[in-house]
Amino acid sequence: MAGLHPWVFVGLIVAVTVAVAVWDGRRSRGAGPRRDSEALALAVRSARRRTAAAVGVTFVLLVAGIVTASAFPDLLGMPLAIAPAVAGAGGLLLYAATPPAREAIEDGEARVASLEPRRAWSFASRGSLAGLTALAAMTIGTLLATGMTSSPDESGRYRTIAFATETAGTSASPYPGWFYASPLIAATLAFVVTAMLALRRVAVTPSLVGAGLGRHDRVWRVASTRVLIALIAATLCLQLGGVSMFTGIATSDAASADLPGHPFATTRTVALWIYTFGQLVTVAGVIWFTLAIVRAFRLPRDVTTRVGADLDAGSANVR
Amino acid sequence: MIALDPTSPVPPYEQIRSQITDLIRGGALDSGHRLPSIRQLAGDLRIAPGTVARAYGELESAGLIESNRATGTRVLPGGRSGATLRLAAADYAAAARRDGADLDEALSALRAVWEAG
Repeated sequence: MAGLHPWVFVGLIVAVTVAVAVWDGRRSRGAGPRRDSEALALAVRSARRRTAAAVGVTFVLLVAGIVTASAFPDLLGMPLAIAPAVAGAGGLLLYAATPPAREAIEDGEARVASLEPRRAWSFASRGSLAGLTALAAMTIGTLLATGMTSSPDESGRYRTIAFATETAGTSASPYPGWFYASPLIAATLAFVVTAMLALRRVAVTPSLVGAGLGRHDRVWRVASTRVLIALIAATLCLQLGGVSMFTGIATSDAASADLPGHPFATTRTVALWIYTFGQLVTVAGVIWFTLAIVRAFRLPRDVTTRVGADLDAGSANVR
Repeated sequence: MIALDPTSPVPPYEQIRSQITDLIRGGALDSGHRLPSIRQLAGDLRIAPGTVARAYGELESAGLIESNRATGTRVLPGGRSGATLRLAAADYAAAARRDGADLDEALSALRAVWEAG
């Protein structure tokens, strides 16, 4: 990656992710013909509008955070630090607050309902929920660790990492100490709450009216949840990746020169590992965000493909 | 699944109550089974939450379900009909179908015998 501008690198990741997603979409397109109901079509249109709006708002807030951090250096990078969590929370809050489309019901039309309760986590796989929980726990854990190992700068703000012996000392900044960690922990917790609200919105949306639409109803919910999961994963990865990279850079800078009787070889190696981990997680965040965009715009086709496959499987069983 | 017929003379809360009762008595809803929240069921059936709350209230009074803020609404044990009764019901339903009777007709016949005996 040496010599490659970060934005060029981000562009390459986005291009590759889009290409793979489009290729995968074309590969699975033949799975079934387009056969959907009026109710399903309305639900899917509404789902795409809401997921696309959530992803769009997240992107705008993310860019606003980056621009604000560049325009106001006096803020010491705080807007950039909290941008992923605030942007993700904004997008997901919009999703949770937007009511679903209400379909018209004919007078006298019979209505059916499942007696299975739907929960916020009903439409996500256990693996993805476990992964998101682990990411959130790692983010909070990393922030607590960097907060506890931070030192105050000359203005008393805990945004420095310092090493000292009896006779000499070295320090580097910006380090995600309490100055950054406290608002970041609060923002991450707020983000987790909005993520739960958004997933809950998928669950509490009334089901499709009419008999025999139970499977269709589940398909659009699963597709919407996949977009939200990608958006949540992107936010957490960008947050954790950014914190890890700054931790690695500051630690490496502080340990760049050995103090008398205090070699820093191991510290530099650990710092390099933390920085590399941060880079990989940030790349994962860019990939997840690109997938969220692709999935949001491809949601109607994914749903009709899945419904078509279900119908084909159903007819094959009947035959 | 339960179905609501808005054209039926039977009130919506009674349709919900009777169908859930049948599912519990018939063993389709086991003891401990969680029922959807009032809000979910009302939303899915496009009726007022109060209607579902009334049906759940009557099921609770009948000792078939219990509602708890923490754990939601669950089917209580002991609501399922005995094996003998379920087997006899299955035989009767099969006989009624063979005779070309529909559900209302079969229930009427059973009610007549019940009330006479």
